[in-house]
Amino acid sequence: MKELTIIIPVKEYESSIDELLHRSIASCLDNRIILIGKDVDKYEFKPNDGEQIPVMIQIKNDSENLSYQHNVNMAVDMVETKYFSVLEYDDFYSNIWFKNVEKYIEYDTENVSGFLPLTEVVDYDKNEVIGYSNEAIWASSFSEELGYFDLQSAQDYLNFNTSGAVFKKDDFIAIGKLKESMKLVFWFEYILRSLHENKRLFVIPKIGYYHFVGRKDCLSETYAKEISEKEAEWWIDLAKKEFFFKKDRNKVYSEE
Amino acid sequence: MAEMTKNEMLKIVEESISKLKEKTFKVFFFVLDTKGNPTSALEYIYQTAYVLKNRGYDVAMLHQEKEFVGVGGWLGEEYASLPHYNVETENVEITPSDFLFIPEIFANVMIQTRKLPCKRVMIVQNFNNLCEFMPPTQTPLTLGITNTIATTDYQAEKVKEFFPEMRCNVVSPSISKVFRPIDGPQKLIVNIVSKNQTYVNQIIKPFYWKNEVYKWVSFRDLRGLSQDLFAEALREAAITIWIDDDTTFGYTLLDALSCGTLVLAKVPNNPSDWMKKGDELNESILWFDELEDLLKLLSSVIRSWTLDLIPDSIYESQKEFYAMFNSEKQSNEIQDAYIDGLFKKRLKEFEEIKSDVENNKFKFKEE
Repeated sequence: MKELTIIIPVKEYESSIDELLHRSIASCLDNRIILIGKDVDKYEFKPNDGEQIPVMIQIKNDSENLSYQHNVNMAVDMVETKYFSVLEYDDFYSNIWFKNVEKYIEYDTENVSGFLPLTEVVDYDKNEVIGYSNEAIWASSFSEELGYFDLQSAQDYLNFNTSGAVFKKDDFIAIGKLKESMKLVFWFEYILRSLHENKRLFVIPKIGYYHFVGRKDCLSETYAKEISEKEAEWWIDLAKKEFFFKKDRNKVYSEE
Repeated sequence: MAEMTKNEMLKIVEESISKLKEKTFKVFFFVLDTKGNPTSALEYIYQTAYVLKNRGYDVAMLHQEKEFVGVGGWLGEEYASLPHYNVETENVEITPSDFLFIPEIFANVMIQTRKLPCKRVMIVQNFNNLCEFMPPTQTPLTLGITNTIATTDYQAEKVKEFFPEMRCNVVSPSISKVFRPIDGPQKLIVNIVSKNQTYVNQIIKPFYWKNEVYKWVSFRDLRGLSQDLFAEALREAAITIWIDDDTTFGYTLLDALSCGTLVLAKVPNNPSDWMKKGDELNESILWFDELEDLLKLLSSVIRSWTLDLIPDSIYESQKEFYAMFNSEKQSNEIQDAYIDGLFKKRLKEFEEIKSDVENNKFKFKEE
């Protein structure tokens, strides 16, 4: 897909990246790729036999803030294409995803700010499909218009997956990017903020992305260990209040 | 003949010749009022009437309903605006040069109109209806009907099998131009086209119970929609389930295929000719025999559709049906069957009668 940059945020370089990248970027080697994180400049992509070498920009982020949101925001500033997509490096795109995004863009290009995939959620250890994300938008009477998020449905629905989605760069910046202080719910809050700004988000009813859950060091697992249920609820409630504000108001969780 | 004088007879014959030549004779179609509910069998009659009207013939629709609803709500105003007459309350003049086309379901009308001077022709879309409604002591031939228009070769063969003396022509239905593929991607919706509400219940709930993972998939029951809304619903949905055990043609199945939706169809009791390729059922439709099979088939079709694994060949071969049943083809068949096969023949018959009258081949009343 032309006009698309893939952003792969990693916390820091580790040797397993190579194996995971070969699997996850197989379907997007003709896109520009931004790999961002601590020490990622050490990484050297070694193509397998017959594999093409992607145009890869490696952004070393040695700042104290290595949060996912910070890395994504930094990378989006470097994007030179109209669209970008964020790939969690242990997930992967389906080989039909970008072809379908192009088809839908051609059909409804100007009005949609983000195209989300139907995501198959895969158990990392068992390598088994255990469900879908973003699917509910295609359930009748869930949102005002089949396939499109609306503010009410988005607030009620937490099972969406933005990894793999294709967003318009200019809209992302205009809406105010991801809020770095937001834990856990930064994409949720961003989605609400987009809808509040009257941007349209559409779920393409094609399986576009495979999301693995259960890997020990992935962000959601880290949050599961670090954040209590009570705190998680607090962040969700906070997102529902903060989406009115474009700027990050740096709210901090307190047990009190 | 002895009841008329030669001049009286000549006058009637010459009037008829004149009307047939100048297209001022009437072409009547007897229609059922479905009270606003779309039916393809009725659409076929209106399609035919409309083509003839556009060819300059004086077409009118006859019915027996006190409160006639008509087809305006679902088929369109151009069809509803054809002249309609209630034969119970309105005086409809019928002359020897006129034609009355009677669908096979109206065996009673065939009996009631047996003494009319016009040419009567039976339209057969479903031979079983004739078996159901015709009294056992009667046949169309004994009622003076010697011509039939059938919708398929199969229906024509059935008529000829039981009434070998009947003259049969085939005029296929045509797929209305509103049934066309969508200009863009389809939505993940599963349509159900079935006359029977029970089937709808037997599909949706068991499907969700068996496939928890697909509880988000939307179903849509397409009964009772106007033709425009029906076509729109067909073309925007990825998948359509079609069930009509008793169909003899499968109009709505053709409509669905023309809209480019992937069709899962229950094999009808008597599959129509066009549903087959040789002895096999056509592969551009995903057939099932039992609802249990459908539940398995549907989940695998949904997954395949979401992964773009439906072979392009299925969609490509759907286009063949449009070529088989387009309005140009139907129009040509109407020319052959109605205009050349009936109207022009009728003119020739009257010209022969005129010649016989002039040559005193009949006995006449004294002047």
